[in-house]
Amino acid sequence: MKAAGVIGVAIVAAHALGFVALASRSAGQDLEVELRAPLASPVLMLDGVVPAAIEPRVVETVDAPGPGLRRKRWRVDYRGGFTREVGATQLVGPFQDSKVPACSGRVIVGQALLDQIAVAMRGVISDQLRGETIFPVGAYHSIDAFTLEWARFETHPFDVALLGAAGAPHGYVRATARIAFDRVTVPIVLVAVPERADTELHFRVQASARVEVANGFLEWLNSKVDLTSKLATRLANHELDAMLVTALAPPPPFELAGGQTLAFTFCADPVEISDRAYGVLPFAVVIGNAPGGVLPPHLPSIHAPPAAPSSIAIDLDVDALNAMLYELWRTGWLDRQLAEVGLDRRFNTDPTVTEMLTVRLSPLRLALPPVISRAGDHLRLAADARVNLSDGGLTVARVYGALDLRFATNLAPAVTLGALELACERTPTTLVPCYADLVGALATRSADFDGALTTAFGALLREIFVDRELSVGELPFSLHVAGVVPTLGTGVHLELDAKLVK
Amino acid sequence: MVAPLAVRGLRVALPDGRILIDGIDLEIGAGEVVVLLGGSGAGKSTFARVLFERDELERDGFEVVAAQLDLDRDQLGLVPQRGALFDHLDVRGNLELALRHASGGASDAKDADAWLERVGLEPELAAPGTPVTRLSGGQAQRVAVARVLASKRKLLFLDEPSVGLDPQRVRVLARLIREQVKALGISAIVVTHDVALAAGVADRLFLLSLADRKLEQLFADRWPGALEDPGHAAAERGTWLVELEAALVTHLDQHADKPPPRGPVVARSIVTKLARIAEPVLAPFRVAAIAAWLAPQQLVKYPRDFAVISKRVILQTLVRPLVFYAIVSTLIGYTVLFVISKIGGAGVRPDALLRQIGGAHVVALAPALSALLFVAASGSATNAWLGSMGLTKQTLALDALGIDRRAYLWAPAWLAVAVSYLIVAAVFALGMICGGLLVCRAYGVPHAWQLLTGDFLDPRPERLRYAVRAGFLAWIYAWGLASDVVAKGGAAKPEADAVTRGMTASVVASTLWVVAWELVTVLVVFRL
Repeated sequence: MKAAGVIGVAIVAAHALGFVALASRSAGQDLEVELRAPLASPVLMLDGVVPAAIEPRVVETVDAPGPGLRRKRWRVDYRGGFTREVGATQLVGPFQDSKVPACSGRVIVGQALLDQIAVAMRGVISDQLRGETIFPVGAYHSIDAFTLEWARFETHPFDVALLGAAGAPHGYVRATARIAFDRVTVPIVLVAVPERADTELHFRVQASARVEVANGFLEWLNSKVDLTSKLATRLANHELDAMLVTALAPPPPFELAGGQTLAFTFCADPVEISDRAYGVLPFAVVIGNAPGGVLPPHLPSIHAPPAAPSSIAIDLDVDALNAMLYELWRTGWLDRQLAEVGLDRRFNTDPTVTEMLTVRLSPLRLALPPVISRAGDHLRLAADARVNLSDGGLTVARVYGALDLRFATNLAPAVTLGALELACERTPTTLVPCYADLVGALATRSADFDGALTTAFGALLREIFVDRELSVGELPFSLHVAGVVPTLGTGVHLELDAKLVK
Repeated sequence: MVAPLAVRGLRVALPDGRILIDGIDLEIGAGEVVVLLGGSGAGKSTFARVLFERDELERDGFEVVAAQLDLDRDQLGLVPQRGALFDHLDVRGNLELALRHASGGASDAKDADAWLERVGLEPELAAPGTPVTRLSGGQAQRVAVARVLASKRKLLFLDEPSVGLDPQRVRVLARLIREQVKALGISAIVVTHDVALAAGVADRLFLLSLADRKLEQLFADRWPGALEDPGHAAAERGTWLVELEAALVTHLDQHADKPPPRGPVVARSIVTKLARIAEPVLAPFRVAAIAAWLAPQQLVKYPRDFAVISKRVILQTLVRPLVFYAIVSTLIGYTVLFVISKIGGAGVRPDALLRQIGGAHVVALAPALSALLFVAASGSATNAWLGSMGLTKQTLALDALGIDRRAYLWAPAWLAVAVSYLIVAAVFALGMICGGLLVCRAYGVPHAWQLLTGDFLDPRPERLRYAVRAGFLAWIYAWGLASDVVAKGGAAKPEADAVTRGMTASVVASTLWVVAWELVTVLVVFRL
């Protein structure tokens, strides 16, 4: 009987020890992915290994192949609608070439702006000619008409002499004027053919004038003193060139902090002119090289013929947007913006968080350049960031966010959260699910987080393309952009409300 | 021929040190009937316990010393007071149990009828389903005699067999005892207050003296022998009855109020004292080891007995209170989840809270709540049943039939209680889930059944440990509660209050068992 008591106690002790052993072996096999993939790759190559114990129930999904930020997700579903998921991001090529930047932006100058320029030029030329007397036509009286128009040779075959042997296969600017002197009225025609030389654009200007007099003597005299040349030279004396170049040029560089700039440049494609409609200048975003060979992706883009703008418009393909984002990422501008916005600060000081949660965030760091892609009737901005989670220990987490955005008037972004995913790094190459419920809760409070990146980006677009006043050479005019109406096409189309002001 | 019983220098001290018996010298010959007379408190029943359950007696603090105690325990049978028939069996079952264990497992169905006839009872009483509670006192005594005779014991100990019998039935009983002793060639010790029975059956008469606590033979040189034997005239019987009664009354008049003398203080070692203190704590562990060892053997050797006890216990612990458990668990499941749904306060979606909780509250609470409820309801029922078997000497009767109460009673009861608890725990969890479903339905939580059962059927990795903990707790509560219930219920029950004390002690001990394991396991789970 005594032995039975001892055995009974031993059974209990064995149970206690057995439970410790059992509990230590009952952690369950959580989802864990050993990543075997670089951050950026010319083709989608996101391989990962999951533990054999749960491999049969792991469901893998991968984004469709193609350039951009692509995700592969490993998911395990549990009864009750609970899911554990880990995702990894890869920047997939083809990539843009930093040495030969793609023509991803276009400046479109409409006929309306040329009309404004014509009015301005008429005043300038009139002021210059006032008080002058030209032998034998007499004193300058007035400019009766002055027009500027986008022209194609096909509709003005008589301009062949002015265009010369090089012609104007992509179109030109055609100016006409009637200058009245005491004795005669001189009609003048000018052609300004855009020509690009490496990093600058200028217009080759040719003019012709015909003196309309019935007096044979005067006609003879005109042929001797080359009145036509004198007038043409006057009219073509840089003012027209300056006016046109100002209107039809890539946006000027934008100063980022630390002496860094976001620059635009001419690209290989020619200026394209549509008769009496618009002139288009393709341009490119200047991109540098980031460590690790990361470059912005090159997405396929179809250029539809631009609609004639009322004055001036800018088309930005997703390549242009991505190149800009890449530069902003490469130069650290985006990380600084995120730090300024203070997502971490806002999260950590949120009353609900401070009262109920133990986890705290560090500032976000973008591991890859954000990428914009076309998604139905809106654009999707995807970003892959790193954040340190402090919750007893320190864990590096990978945050993937996708924002569906539209731009309202003046580039105010309208944003909805398309995706928010979090995975923790057990090691730099081992991802595990973490804070799934927390992420779910944060997604429902997306208003706090949605706008940070896109608001900053929208403001930047405004600063670069809208809030500018461009002076026109030495002329007392400048191009003032009062507002912008953005629309989404294959990229972003910015219809600028521009006026030439004195 | 070896005497069935030879006792010399038997001395028994009460737990408080007083001397209850200070000298019994007794030898019983084959075919002899010895009667022990004595007043209340003289130690007659204690003498019986010395013979039948000396170990338990000593464990209860009695001190038993004997210069000689020769007894073949396997040949000693008992007819307890009022027969102590097993009330979980019918009349036939009582007899068949004795027959089965006497023959090592097999018995003839006609044997029970024969033994009833032998003690002068109608064979109809052997009809299946005749409860022992239907028997009159005399019938019960005779069935008890028949039962002990059927067990083929060579020495019978009849404890107050005439209690509650009218004079005519006393004489019938006396004659029955004499006939069977002679017919079977066995011996008997009859402990009684009843002068008529004593005179009717005794070959020798002894008095357990209240004066000196020794055994004295009465009328040693002139007792004529059992007066119910043929050859004794009515006048002779009358004379001896008067004389015997006078001797007994005189003795009681002189010594009835005399308390047992205080003996020398026996210094018990500290180990002995600690062992006595620890005994109630260790008893369940002992029961666990014994029952786990004996249950499979009993199941194989006596499956019918095993089934009878298991059925009775499952009826007490599972079937009767099952609806109660279902209702309570459903209400608890509803209440807990309803309260949780309101925790968020204004502006917080209740369904979001319910999704967060899922079935976690069931996994966490079901084992503990079901265990506490089980021990209070089901455990107490079995505890009381086992205790009442002790109180009514049924367990002693088992011993006297050579049936190991631990194998016959404890092992199947222990297993049945454990299994019942496991089923109750499952029912309880299901009830809590059903209560939760009602709350989920009220808030329109989709896939509520999957949500509430997810932690059991497909736990997430971080929840697996809690599911394992719940399973482990159910397991350890099952055999832990069973052990405590059987230990407390099976402990000695000298009076009715001991039964309620056992029930209370079991609830307290089981609650501590549950709380301790809840704490230990939760610490282990969280530290890991």
